Amino acid sequence: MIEESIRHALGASRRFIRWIALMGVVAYALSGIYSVKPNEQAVHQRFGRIVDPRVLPGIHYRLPWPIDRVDKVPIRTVHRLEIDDFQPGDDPRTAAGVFRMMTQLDSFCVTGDNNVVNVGCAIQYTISDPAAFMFRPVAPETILRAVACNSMLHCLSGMEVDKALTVSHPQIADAIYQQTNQRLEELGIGLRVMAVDLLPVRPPGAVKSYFDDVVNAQIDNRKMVNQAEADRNERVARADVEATRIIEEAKGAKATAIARAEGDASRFTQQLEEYRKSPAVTRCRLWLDFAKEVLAKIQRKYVVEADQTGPAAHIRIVTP
Amino acid sequence: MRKLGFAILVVLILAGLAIYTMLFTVSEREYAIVTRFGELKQTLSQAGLYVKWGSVCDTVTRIDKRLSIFQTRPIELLFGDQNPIILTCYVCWEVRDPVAFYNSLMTPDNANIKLRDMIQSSLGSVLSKYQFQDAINIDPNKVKFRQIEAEALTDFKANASEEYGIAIRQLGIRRIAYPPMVTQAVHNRMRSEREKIAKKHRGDGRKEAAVIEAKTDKEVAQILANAYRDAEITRGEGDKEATAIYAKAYSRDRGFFEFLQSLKTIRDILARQATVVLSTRSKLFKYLVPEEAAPAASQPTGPRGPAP
Repeated sequence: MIEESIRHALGASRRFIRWIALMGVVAYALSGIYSVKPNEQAVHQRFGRIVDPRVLPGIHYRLPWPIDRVDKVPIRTVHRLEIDDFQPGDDPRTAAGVFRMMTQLDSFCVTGDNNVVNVGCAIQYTISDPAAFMFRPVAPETILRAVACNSMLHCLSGMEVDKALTVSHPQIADAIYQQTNQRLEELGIGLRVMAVDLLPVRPPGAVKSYFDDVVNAQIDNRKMVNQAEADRNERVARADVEATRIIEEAKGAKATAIARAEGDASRFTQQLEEYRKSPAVTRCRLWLDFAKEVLAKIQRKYVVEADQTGPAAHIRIVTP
Repeated sequence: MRKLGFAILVVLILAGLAIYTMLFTVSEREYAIVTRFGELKQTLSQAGLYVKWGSVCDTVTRIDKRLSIFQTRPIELLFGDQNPIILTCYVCWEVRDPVAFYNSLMTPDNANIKLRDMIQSSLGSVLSKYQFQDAINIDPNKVKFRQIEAEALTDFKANASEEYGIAIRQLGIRRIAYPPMVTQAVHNRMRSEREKIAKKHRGDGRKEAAVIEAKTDKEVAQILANAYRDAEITRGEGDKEATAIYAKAYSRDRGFFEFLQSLKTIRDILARQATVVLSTRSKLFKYLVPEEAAPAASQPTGPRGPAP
């Protein structure tokens, strides 16, 4: 009885152990299931060798540890790297600060006309090749930074400072984008630049006020020209007013002259009509009226005898 | 039965241990070199699972296969035209021949030291063949930046790969700076250039303003002159019409007109201060003087009376 029950128990536990072992094997086998998220891609390796360099998002199976290994890389994430190597600054955490510590020199970028400017950019990049990114470079971001600096130097060393400071920003950004991508491709480290945003380009502090003065001079230039234009508008307007006045005056004079002429003519004509009726009387009357009017006003008048002839010396003229 | 099972288990464990020590993996990031007592047995450049038969006696040395970047400290160099310049370079390198690398007892650290020396000499010799204008020029087509880099790289590759098993993938200038003296001179020149440009802008402004002012003068004079012309034409028309009207009216009796006009003229001429001498024979005194005393023709010295 007892033996039987022991045997029974042993059998049960043996079954139980077997069952556990089976479960273990199944669980081990199932541990190879993995998923890749939509923004990721994965690199599938077997004993270190790449089996599938680009596993797309979804549910996948790999052989369990220690045979297979999967590394997931967030391929859609856009990373940002700010290139501040040519910006001013003493902060020893920045590239410019390190350079300053080593050389006591300020950081800047040289332009084609041998001027110096502070320039920087923000680079947005993604991982284009997960396997290359995982296994090829030791320090991908350091490489990217060096390559971007190189592109920036190359671009600016063939450009005039005035263009670099003003109109050529898109051109510089584009050149950095092109060259950095080209050089990255050469190296095959699985990175790709998506966009380059140029930060403000500025002249270095030591000469900044002089650059500002050029801007002020341009403003002054516009101001002088605008002032002259304003003066001109005002003076021309005033001249127009004056011209109108002169012309109107002349028109007035013309009207006056004609009116007077008509008046005079009319008066003359009427007078003439009356005169013709009795010319001698009218003539005499007019003359006497005239003599009265004229001689009344004149203060010094002399009347001489008609027979008195000879030089005028006999006439005494008394001046007041 | 039980003893047999135990023996099998022991054998399996021992076999497992043996296999475990014999097997090793090489990842995609590395090369592996298998040596037995210092003697080279195997060079593995492919990733995967490998077996080393010598087990305990064999050692596996792993050498990094990845692309490294080395950046130099700032180096002062001279161009062919004796212009000094401070450069910082980067070099991307990787191990191409693991055995050569291993044999020259390289580690990444002392590889960097070797690289630094080599870069300095390569770049120095290449730069001395170029002028300053070949690196810095306003004409982008004359900037031989890439050419300088490529030449330095060629010079450099020849040295590095043969001796140390290193391959240089890329060389680039990372930073250009001027020595302090030159920086000062550059700043001074930039200042004077800016001053010149500022002066030019202001001068141009003044000039343009003066031109506008002169134009304005001209325009104003023109407007006034035109106005004068138009005004005089108008006045002339007025005079013409008036004259015509006068002529038409006055020509009806010339004698009467002359009589009236002369009266009017004399009235206008004679001022208050004038002195008038009148003859008694003047018509004015006709009734004061006996008729027979007066001659037929009166001769007034003052205002001339009308003809009798």
